[in-house]
Formats: sequence, C-alpha cells, structure tokens
Amino acid sequence: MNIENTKAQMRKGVLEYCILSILQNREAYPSDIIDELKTAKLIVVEGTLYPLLTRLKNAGLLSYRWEESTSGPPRKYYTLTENGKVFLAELDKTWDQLSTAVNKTTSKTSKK
Amino acid sequence: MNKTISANISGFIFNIEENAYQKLLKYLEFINSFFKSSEGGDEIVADIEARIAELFQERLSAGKQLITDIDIEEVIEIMGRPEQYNDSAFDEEEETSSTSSQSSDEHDADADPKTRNRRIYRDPEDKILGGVCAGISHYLGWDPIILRLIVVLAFFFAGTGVIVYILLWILVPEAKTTTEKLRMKGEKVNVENIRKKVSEEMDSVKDGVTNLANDAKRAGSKVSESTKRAASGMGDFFGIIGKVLLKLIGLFLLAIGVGILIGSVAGWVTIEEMVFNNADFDMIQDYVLHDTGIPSMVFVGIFMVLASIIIAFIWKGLKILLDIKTNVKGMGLGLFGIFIIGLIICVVSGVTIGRSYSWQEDIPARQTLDLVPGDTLYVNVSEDDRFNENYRWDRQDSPFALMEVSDGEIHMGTSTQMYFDLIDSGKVEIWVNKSACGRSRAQATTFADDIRFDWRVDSNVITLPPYLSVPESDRWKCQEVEIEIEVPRGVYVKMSEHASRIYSHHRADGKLRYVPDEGRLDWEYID
Repeated sequence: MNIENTKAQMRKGVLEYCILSILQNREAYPSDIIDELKTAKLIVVEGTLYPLLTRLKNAGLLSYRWEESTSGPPRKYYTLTENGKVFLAELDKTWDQLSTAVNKTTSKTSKK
Repeated sequence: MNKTISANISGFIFNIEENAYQKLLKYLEFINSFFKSSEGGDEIVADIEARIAELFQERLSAGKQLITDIDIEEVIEIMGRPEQYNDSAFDEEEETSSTSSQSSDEHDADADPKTRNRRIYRDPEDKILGGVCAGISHYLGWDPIILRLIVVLAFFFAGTGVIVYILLWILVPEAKTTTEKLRMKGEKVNVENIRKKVSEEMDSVKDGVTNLANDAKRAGSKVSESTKRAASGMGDFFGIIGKVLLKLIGLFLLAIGVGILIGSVAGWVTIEEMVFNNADFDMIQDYVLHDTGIPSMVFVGIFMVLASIIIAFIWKGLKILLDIKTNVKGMGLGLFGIFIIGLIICVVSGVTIGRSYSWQEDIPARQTLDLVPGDTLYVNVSEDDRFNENYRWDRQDSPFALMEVSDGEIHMGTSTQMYFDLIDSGKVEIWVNKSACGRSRAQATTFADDIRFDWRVDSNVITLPPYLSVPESDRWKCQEVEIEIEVPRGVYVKMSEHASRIYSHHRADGKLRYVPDEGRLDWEYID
C-alpha cells in the first residue's frame, strides 16, 4: 500500500466537511477556500477542489452567486444553503465522535 | 524572437507565447476529457478555467504582459498535474483507478493489434505530411516507414499514391484528443492511460521547445520540427500541398530542360546525317552560308536560343527540387537576354539565307538525233573516277553527299538526274536543263549559266559527264542538271553499266527494264 494514497484517502474523507465548515459563517470565493485549505495543508492542488464544490452544489448543500470583478471575469461567491447548514451540524457531531474514537485507539496502541 | 498568440480563457483575454499556448492547450484537453463523464463536468471545467484566468491575471502587470512557459508550468503545478488527479479526492474515478492499476501492464497495445479494438486516426505527433502513414501504421501495427516507402514508390508509378494519400488525408480524422490518440494505438481508454499519455506529451513538448531553439537552419526539403509543431490545421494542410505541387513543377521543368537538350542533340545529329550526309561541316559553312555575309551566324543564333532555354529550365527545376537557395545574380535576366538576341539572330540570318535562294532560273538546251526505229541509241558516261565508283548513286541523297572542291571548282555528284521518255513516234531528242537559285532573277540566271556540264552527241551516241561543276566562288546555289531523253518506239537503248549505275533509271512513263548481260534498257510496251 502506498502511503501517499492512504494519506490522500484520509484527507479526502474530511475535505467536504472542511469546505462546509469554512463557509459556515461567511461567503467565499473558491480561491479563498483554496487558500485556507492550503494553509491547513489539506489540499495540495487546486484542481481537486472544483469537482467537490460542484458536487456539493449539485447536492444542494452549497449555492453561489456571480460577482462582477473589476479586473477579469465574474467570480462565483459560495454560501451554505439551509440544507448545508444542517448537513454541517451533523458532520460536526460525527467528527467529534470520530476524532475522539481515533485518538483513543491510537493513543492506546502507542502506549503499549 | 518568438511568436505570440492572443487567446482567451473564461472570457479573459491574454497574450501567451506559442510554446506555452500548446502546453496550456494540452493541459486543458486533459482536464476536459478527465471530467467529461463526471456529473456537472462542464461546470467543473469552467470553474477550473476561471481559476486559471485568475492566476494569469495575478501574474500579468504593466511590466509583464505575456504569459510564458514558466507561468504555465506554475499554473499546472497549482491546479494539479495530471498524474495527481488520479490519486486525489475524486469519488467517481476511484473505482476505475483501482482497476486501471491492474490494467497498467496491458498498455503496451501496439504489439498486439489483433485483439485490440482500435480505430484509424491520423497521427499528428508522427507526421511528415499529414500523418496518414503513421496513423494507418498504428492500426496495422507496422513501422510507418513501410507505408511511407510504398507511397513514394506509388508516386513514381503514374502518381497513383498521391491521389490516394490526399483522399485519406481528407477523410481520415486527426487524433486530437487524448482519448482518440489512445484509441488510435489501441490502448485502453482509462484514466491511467490518459494520465500517462498526457505526461508523455508534456515531456515531448518540453523536448520540442529545446529542439526549436536548436533548429536554427532548415536544410534540404525535410519538413522541420518547428514546421510540424508550429503550424496546425488547414493552414498547414495547404502549405504542404503547395510544397508538393511545387516539387512536381520543379521536376517537370527539369524534365523539359533535359528533354530539349536531348532533342537538340538528336536533332542535330539527324540533320547532319540526313541533310548533310556527314559532309564536312566547314564545307557547308563555306558554301551555303558564306555568301550571305553572315557566316555561321545562324548556328550561333540557334545555339543561343536553345542554350538559354535549356539552362533556364534545368536550373529552375533543380532549384525547386533540391531547394537550392543561392541565386545567381542576373541569371534570369541574362538568360532571357541571350534568348532574345539569339532569336533575333536566327530570324535575321534565316531570312537572309533564304533570300539568296529565293529565285530559281532554268537554262535549257536540246538536241535532236537522227535515229529511226530499229536503230540503237547509246548512252555513255565519260570516264571520271573523281567520285568513288562503288558509291551507289541515288538521287535521294542530298546534294552534299557527293561534293568535292578542287581546282577552283565545286563538283556535285548527286545534283544530276536523267529521265527517259517513251514517245510513239518522232525523233530522239535530248533535253538538258541547267538550273540554279539566286538572290534575284539575274543572279540565278548567272549561276545557272556558270554550271559546267559538258555533254555531247556524236550521231547515235550520247555522252554525259557523271557530275556537274560550278565555280567555287558561286558556292552552292542548288545548282542542278536535269536530262531528259525522248525515245520513240522501236529504238533500242543501250547504256553502259557505268552509265546505268550513275544515272538510275527514272523515267517519265512507260516501262523500262534493264537487261544486265546485254547492258541495255528494254522497253516493255504497254498496249
């Protein structure tokens, strides 16, 4: 098994949750979302983001509006929908449970 | 200095270097085909393109107005290199990526053409002209050189290959997208192979850029790398067609030039043989042309005309075929000048020569012999071994066939002719006509008069000289002597063997039969 693959799989699992989280209290351009994710080292290449955004939008969790830009083409400005907010709350709970469980498991193992 | 392309992505206009453009194009092709089957794939692609436009914007400023190769590299790194798309967060592709890792060993598809489901495309990456041979070779599993050789050979057989090639060029589509390129080679169309293909192409683009820098001079007629990569689409197609046609024209010109050369040589040899009978060229020059005052100018003129044409055609043809760039200064003008001057000389001297033969005059003389039926007429030729006895004296030969100059006279052996004429009754009559040509009537008469043909009659013997003679200063003025002998029926004619050989038996009418052992001519009476 490829370590990079596994890492990517782990990151991939939480990526959607993180995107929804970023949009929790604000609207954001894709580039803003990218910047945050990059800072957190959650994504390496931007190309992975767009399919995700589109999928979340198609699932009704996100919506966007076009905003004219003075320099260049108009840009998408994403927000959470009501559904998205509900979804995010669910995921928050799930993450809490998950991270606790994982921490428990891994710390137990390393102790031995 | 490099070429710049003005492009736009997501509505954003920018200037980009040619090489960078190609790279970007390939990348966008990959993105396109990668998300083609995804839900909302168009939107994803649009988003990515919009992001790329943003990145371009960030990089451009008043000081930097051009998107370069480096920029594209950076953008691709940011957006994600094609290989990274395989193992990142893509749900739909996950299933196929696990299966594609199994099938990665099978991608060596070219080796086993029969089991692969492949289609014929034109290969834009391995093309000399249009990639027809390369594309079909993928389908067959051959080395493209085989098909190319076949096409070249076919070209030499009435150019059949050309028509077929052009048809295929038009009908067979070019493998543009990565998917099509994979299908052309019969490789499985999945993400793994697409990724591999794209990265291969990225590498080759990198190499191509280095090669472009090294491709300083274009040698010979080979279509260079830069032409292959730089041009695209229909413009390239017509350019190549134009080149092929040009080469054909070059070959044609060369052929014409060589043809004229061979024709001239052959023609000269023929003329020499038939008209002059291999006579001494100087003699011709002296006795035909000299009097006109333009000695041998006509030959100079002909030579100039032919030489200028031949040189022009052969040179032009070779230039086109071998792509010789050097231009000899003033060659075109010089050759044309020679041609014109040569033409003028030909015309003038030709006319002048012709004029000196424009008039012909006759000087007849006759004599009657007192013979009655039952008598024998003897026709002899005076002994003169000037011309070889064994030579077959034939009127068909040109006047120059037997021509000799001595003692201030020109002796012509083939300019005399004798006829026998059978009449019912009357006397034997001999009629000798001297004729010559000249610039004017008077001159022609003088020349005719100058002919020395000493014949005589002694009761029943006619003695003729074997040839005529003219003063050397007269030169050849188509001097001729025609002898006609009228013989009534019943009169026997006896010619010596010598005579009958020199004067062949042409006659006006009646049937004449030479009786060898008796040395006489016999009439065959037609009743």
